[in-house]
Amino acid sequence: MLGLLMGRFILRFNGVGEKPAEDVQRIRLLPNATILDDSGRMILIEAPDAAITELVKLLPQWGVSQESFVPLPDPRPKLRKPAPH
Amino acid sequence: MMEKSAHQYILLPPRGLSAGDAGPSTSGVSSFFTSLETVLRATAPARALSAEKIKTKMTVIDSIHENGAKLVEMSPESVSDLQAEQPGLRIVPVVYYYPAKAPRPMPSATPKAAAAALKISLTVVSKANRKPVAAAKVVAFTNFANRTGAQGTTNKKGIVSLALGSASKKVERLYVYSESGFWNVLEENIILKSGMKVEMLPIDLSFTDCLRHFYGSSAATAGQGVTVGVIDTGAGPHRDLTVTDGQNTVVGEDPTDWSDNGEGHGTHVAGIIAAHGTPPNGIGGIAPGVTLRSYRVFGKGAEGASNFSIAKAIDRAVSDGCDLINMSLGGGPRDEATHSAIADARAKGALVIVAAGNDGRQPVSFPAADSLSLAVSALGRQGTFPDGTTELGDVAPPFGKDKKNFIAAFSNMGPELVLTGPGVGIISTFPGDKYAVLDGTSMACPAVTGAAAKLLSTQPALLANPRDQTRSDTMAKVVLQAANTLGFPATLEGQGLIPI
Repeated sequence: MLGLLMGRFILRFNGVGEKPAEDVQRIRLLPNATILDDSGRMILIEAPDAAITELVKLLPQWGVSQESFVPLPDPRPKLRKPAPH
Repeated sequence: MMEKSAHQYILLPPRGLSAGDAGPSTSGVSSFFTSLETVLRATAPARALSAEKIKTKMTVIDSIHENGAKLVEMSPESVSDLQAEQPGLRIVPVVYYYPAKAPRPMPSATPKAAAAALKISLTVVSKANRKPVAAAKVVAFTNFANRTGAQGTTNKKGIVSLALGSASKKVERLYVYSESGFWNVLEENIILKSGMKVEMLPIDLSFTDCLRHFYGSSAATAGQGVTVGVIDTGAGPHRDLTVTDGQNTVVGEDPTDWSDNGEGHGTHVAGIIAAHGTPPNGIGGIAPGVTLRSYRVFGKGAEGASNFSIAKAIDRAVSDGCDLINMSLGGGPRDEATHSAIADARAKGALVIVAAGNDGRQPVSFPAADSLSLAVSALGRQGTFPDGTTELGDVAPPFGKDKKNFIAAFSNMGPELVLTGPGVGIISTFPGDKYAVLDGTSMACPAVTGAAAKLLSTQPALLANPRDQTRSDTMAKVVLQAANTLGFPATLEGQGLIPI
């Protein structure tokens, strides 16, 4: 994988009904990619950024998002720096 | 004429750019777009007739599609009114893009030498029996505005050492948080010295906190017929909670382990909605009669939940028949996967209720800011928490018609808000059959979900409708139109508080 910029992406089918089998097959055959989860209308995939960019051009009914994380909510005031001594 | 504060927004159907793209169940949205089109294009008599059908004050500026997307101008305060009038609409602020200039490198602050500092030792004890309180987090701010100070956690003897650099130090604010069992402490402008004791007040489950002030106690059957999904850190087990089922959607974890991951956040949230205990030995939620399901999106030991886990949990909650989906989480950029999952939930008859975020009057965070979410701010009330507790730090103007009411200082704000709910000093369930006091829009969100469940359970005919966009739009309309203003600007409370 040297030289490939890898990322984790969510592919979500936005069309009507189940996600088409031929689309899923095309995703599964993506070189240098690993399917991490396949659920309902979505597939979580680790793949080179460039390959995903090219893939979604061929799958107009699919949306793509990079995997991201939201923190546990906490309204408590946080310390930013130690008190000067 | 529009007010000076008018902003531009794009009005969109639930999906795509035309109401026709969204399927057959958006006739209300479709006719609304047609009325807007007439206002924009037609001659005077027809325009006046159509304008009468639009309750929210706005100016139609442009149209992308005859039966679809419109550019309008209205005040941020009117956004909430429009959401109540047309719950199926997506209302998206117009965004202007600018060239991305490279940031100029700036010198970083000179690091201070590690202080081999003098420390101040405090002992934290229970006010009831003077026994030490272990594992309490103590934060001392010498300068609160700059968030400067020291922090530590108490040991088994209740002792914490704070590296404040001298044997005695003035602190502007001292916060002490226990994991559970006590009200958290706030002391202001005190001189700290080693050997001082800080007392924590144990939670009395009979106490009238903010939630019970506004919503009292509910019958065991309240909320019956409504299924609620809680997407969080997991929920239970707890003696006051009955969680029917659920799923863990964290990638790589056991899908059947939807119980609390140990953080307690989801168990607290679930208790606000559906706890069925009775004080003084237990606690009750707003709608104990609901069918409660738990969807865990925070992994064990993980600090964050992925957008994939969240979108998967929404999908699963919808397929499990949840009518209401509670999401006391958010932050980060807008995300297409989560947006699509929310849109699908609405298209399949479910409402998604989301906490607005706790960044202190900052814009409503995503996914609460999604037009198809119901975004919730946190309401507080003076007198519903004991003196000397951290809730005192959450009090902020403006105050409501009743001057004891306030929107919490931490609560985010903006035109996306549609409702407010009690979220300051809320007693609820905590893992290990314990109880804790927590604050946040995270707590306000389930208060709204519980109130909505209680309200909707009185409308079995509506709940029996086919699970489609019309159903969720009607449910949203019922909930939003029931809400009453408490006298705050709409950007702080939306339509207000749901009465039950």
